[in-house]
Amino acid sequence: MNHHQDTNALIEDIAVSRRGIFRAGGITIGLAALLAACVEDAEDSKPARVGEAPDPVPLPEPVFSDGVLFRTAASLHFSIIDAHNNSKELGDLTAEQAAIVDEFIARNTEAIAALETLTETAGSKPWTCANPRFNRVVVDVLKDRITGRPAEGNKEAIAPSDDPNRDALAMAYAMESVAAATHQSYVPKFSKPEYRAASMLLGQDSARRSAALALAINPANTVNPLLIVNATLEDPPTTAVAETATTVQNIAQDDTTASTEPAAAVVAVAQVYYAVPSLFGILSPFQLAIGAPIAGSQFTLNIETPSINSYVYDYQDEC
Amino acid sequence: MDIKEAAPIPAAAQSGAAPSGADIATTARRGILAAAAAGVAVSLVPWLNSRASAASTTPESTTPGSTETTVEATTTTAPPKQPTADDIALLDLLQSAELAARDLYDVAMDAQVFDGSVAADVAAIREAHEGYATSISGLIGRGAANVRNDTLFDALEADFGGDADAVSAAAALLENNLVATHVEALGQIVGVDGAALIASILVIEARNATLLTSLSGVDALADLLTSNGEALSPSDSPVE
Repeated sequence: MNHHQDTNALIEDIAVSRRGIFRAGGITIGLAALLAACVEDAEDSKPARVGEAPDPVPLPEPVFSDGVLFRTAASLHFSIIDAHNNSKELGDLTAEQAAIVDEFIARNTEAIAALETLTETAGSKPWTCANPRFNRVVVDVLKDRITGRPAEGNKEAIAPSDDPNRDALAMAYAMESVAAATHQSYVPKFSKPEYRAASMLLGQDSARRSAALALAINPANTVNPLLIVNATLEDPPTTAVAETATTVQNIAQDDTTASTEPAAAVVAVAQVYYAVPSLFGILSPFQLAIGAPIAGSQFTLNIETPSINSYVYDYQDEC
Repeated sequence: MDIKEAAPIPAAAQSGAAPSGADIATTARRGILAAAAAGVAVSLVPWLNSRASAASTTPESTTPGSTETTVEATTTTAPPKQPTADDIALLDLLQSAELAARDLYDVAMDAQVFDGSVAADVAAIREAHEGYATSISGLIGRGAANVRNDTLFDALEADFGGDADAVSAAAALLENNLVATHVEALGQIVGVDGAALIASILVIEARNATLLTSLSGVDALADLLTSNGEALSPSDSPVE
């Protein structure tokens, strides 16, 4: 009996009351908060990852410099040579036209040599091949518009050009115009005046080639008529403006007399390229209409001068 | 980067034959490219220094406790946007040349040298030169000289009154001279706005030169593409 009484007394001594539990819990939480506040902050540099994944490769830092501009300009001239070779290959050029394009290729090659020297002077390594992005989004696209292309994957088929000669010359004109605009656009980006002069020396050469080709395409393509109109407001120009073909549907036409033969696809208004297209050198995208017409209109590509996403940065070391 | 010392608008060179024109152009091209490659620019420095000395804005700092005045070194890493005092002197020269070109085309138009569509083309080119002068004036601001370069005008006035082919050849040479002058100036202009404007002008004047060469009856591709111009000398500037 005595033994039973001793056991009850022991249980009463170690019994845990509600108040005791709350007190112990409060003390524990308080100590935990204190310790958490005092511990040194540390960031986990390697957060937890799930599954197998390769370590991310850090992107190289694209540093912008005079050398990058010269490398990019050289790459553009390489791309232009590619486009000119496409013109020769695909454009059914006459001997005279082929000679013009050959001369353009030679002069672009000279420009590249000058740009490579300038690149080294600016502290960069010369770039010796075409601009990858410009070729992908411009040169290759223009080529497809002349040769045509079957449907591939989600890309629709492209009909071959109805007039490869027209399109090849238009492409050559566009390339030289874009080269001139590119050199002009780089002027405010160069850090040294002498680099600007050297760049524009090459840019004005491109402008001359563009003008000469416009005259070769059509000697009447001299000055943009808009400039003439503005210059002769008191004395209207004597040059007759060619009538543009209408593309408006004749809804009053009698259906019974309408031909059931589909009309041949023709370019309603062919794009005209002028020796002097504007008052100042413009930097807006060159809009080149090219390829077989669809409902009277040609595919139009906006060709922009190479910019941030097309620069050939110094970290790019493989052609 | 050599800029020609003597007034380089020789009548012989404007006759159209100019056998040494290509050599001159080649020399000038090589000079500019070589200068850029060598990282030097010296041609207009003496002239600009003499002009800048009158209106120098170089900041100076006086060392405390000393009577000596030290000139701070330039630490700017990015070119300024606005034209500097030296830029304005150059832009005055370019503007005077543009106004001379406008007036030379007026001579041809008053003499009715051209007719038909060619007259309209020349009128457009004349308007463009006036527009270039106006743009340069807008860039310089109230201090713009707006003065015609009489040296250039007087040297070429007679050449703009002959037959159409000869006037076209003279006009082509004028455009080539303007291109060469602008390129030379571009190698000296520090302010970005001025450089961008001059670049946008010279790229069209190069096209004008090709067009006018074609209008003069020349159809050889090499001639259409040759930039046989000589830069104006700063000593020809009408602005004191």
